[in-house]
Amino acid sequence: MLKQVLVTIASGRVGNTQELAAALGTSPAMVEAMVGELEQRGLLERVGDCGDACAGCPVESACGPAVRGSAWMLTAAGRRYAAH
Amino acid sequence: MPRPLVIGLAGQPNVGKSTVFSILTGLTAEVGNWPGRTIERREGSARIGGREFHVVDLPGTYSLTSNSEEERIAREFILRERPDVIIMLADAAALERNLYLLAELLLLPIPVVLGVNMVDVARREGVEFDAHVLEAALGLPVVPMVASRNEGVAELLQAAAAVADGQRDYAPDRPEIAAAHREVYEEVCTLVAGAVPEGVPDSWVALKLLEGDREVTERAAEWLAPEPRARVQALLREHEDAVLDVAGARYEWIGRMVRAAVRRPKLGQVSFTDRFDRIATHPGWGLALLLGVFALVFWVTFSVAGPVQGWLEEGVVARVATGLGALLGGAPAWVQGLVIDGLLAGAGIVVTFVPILFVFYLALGFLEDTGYQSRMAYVMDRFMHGIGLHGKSFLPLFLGFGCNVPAVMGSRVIESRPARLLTIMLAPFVPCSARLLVLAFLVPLFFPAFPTLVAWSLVVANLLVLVLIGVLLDRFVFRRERLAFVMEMPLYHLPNPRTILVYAATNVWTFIKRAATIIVVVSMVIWVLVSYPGAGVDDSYLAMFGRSLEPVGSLLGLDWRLIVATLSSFVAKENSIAALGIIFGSEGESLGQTLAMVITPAAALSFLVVNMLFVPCVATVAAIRAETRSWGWTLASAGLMLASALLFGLLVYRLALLFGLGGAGA
Repeated sequence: MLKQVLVTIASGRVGNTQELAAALGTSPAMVEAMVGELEQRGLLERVGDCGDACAGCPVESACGPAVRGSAWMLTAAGRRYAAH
Repeated sequence: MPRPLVIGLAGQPNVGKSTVFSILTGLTAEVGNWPGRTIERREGSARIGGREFHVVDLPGTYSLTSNSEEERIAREFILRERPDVIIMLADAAALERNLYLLAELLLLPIPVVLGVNMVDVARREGVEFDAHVLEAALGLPVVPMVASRNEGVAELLQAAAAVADGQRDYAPDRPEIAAAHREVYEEVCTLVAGAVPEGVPDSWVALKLLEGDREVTERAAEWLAPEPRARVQALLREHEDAVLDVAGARYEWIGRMVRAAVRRPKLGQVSFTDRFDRIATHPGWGLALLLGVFALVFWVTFSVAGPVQGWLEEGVVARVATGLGALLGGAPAWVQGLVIDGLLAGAGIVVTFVPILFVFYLALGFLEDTGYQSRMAYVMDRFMHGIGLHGKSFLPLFLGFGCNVPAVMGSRVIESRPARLLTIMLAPFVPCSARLLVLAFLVPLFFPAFPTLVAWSLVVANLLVLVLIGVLLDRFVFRRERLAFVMEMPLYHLPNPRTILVYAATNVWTFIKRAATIIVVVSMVIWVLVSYPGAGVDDSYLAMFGRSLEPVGSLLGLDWRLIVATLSSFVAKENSIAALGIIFGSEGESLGQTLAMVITPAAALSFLVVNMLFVPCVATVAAIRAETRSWGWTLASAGLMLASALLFGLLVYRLALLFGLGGAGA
């Protein structure tokens, strides 16, 4: 199921977690848990968290909670697993 | 008297384990360290219904893989000290995530009882779960609890005792590895059988090896004889992706377990989000709604902030300039120039941005706090895919219509560096309010017969150039770097006015602090360049530079005066109007009459196109330098703008000549 998450994201067919849940036939809560798992395993990375690069940026807080960290993309390892 | 029943208390962090431990053990709790570790070990005794219990609080862990010291301690305790039963606590609102630990615990040879804590909080969040259904699915006792009110704790302990004593059914449904790797799992099981220490299940070791568990992999190398070791290593290399099937099977199992037992969240909230999202994330309607929302934001920003900006320019900056002029009356001319035309002009630009920024951030904060901003980015991302722009580019580029400086700085909302650079490179192509002002002022002077058509055409053409440059940059420079991603869509909710206000104020204040320093300093330097060595722009170093460029300018129909006017816009776009006024105003006629006599329509068109696309103002260039942290990219941006200005100026000039517009003024 985790592999399906990676494959589905890599395919570009889904753009958000609701669509991902629908594509996998599961609930958004399950998707959230699986995305967290894949992130912990280094296969997905949370984007929007610009770390030190944001320090002192005038619009740093513009990347608020609704935007910052609200998207995940495949890491190099994630892409490799998805293509396996 | 029977020996006390040993209970291991397991659970992920923040599930209320400490509360349950305190209720159970009270004053008997002892705190020490796990052997050889610095992590706290807490244990104590409990007595319920005449039965003695010894409770050991295990460190909070998300799983039982050797990712952390806590996880190693928890599994070592279970495998070595062999408690009679494990009580696992889970958060009722996050069962999908919490049950992963249960999936791992069930692989170990100790019975488990599940306490589902904080059912009250979950209910408030709209999550309902049926303990009987979950119990039937899992095949082990499930006790709903509110530990903070001591509800369900005694029942949990009784259930644990009943399972340990064999008085209650315990036939758990365990996750199984996916079919694709079942064969290799069985082979690894066979290879490790008999080699692992007593009490450690072969099946658990095999799964941990396939999962890539570092500690088990290292230990297995010691346990196994050379031949089976080599075979296991070869199998693991060959089936590197088995790790996903092992963990993936656990999630499939969790999905099965919670499907009938958990209902979330409140139907009304979801259906509103779902209903609204059918429009908000629809490729066509979503885009229409977005454009409508942005038109509203645009209108609110400029109708509310525009007059305030004008008042600041005329009422505050101009008065301060007059006051400073009087104050510095006795000072040398260069001091007056530097302070009033350099420092104040630079600082004034920054100050006049503030109302626009503040209103814009209020609107943006509102959209974010309601949850709509995620949808905007999502819809725009799909739309802009075609022209090579990240969805979030839309926000900063939109801001560029007010001023290119916040557009460049706003590119920070884009995570990927190539996409951010692309946005920064494109931001100066957005016609800012200053350039629109120049257009609105000059077009009627050059083309009094049909100013609206010319101005509208120039703006549309400017936007087409923006799209064209975007496509070219993306295709040839950034090479269509596309990273697949999923966005989280939060539920819609009512915005909090205080959050929005703080959001806007924080952004504006940090903008003032940083941008003001850069803009003021660079503005003063440029002032020196346009003020020396002569008394006016005509004799300045920039003017000399303009004359040297006349051979190029003449290809576009621009003489040295139009070149100088264009160059002076580097300080601020409005300067080109002032420069034209100074140069042509001295000829006695009104500026419009003079321009009509001296400048041909073809040269006028060329001049307007060049001014729309020319190197951005110094404040934008400074912002580009600050954001890219690279002079290379700053120069590349300026070079790209210059090249575009020359290319499209030449194109428009030559086309205009072909259409016979090279004669006397319009």
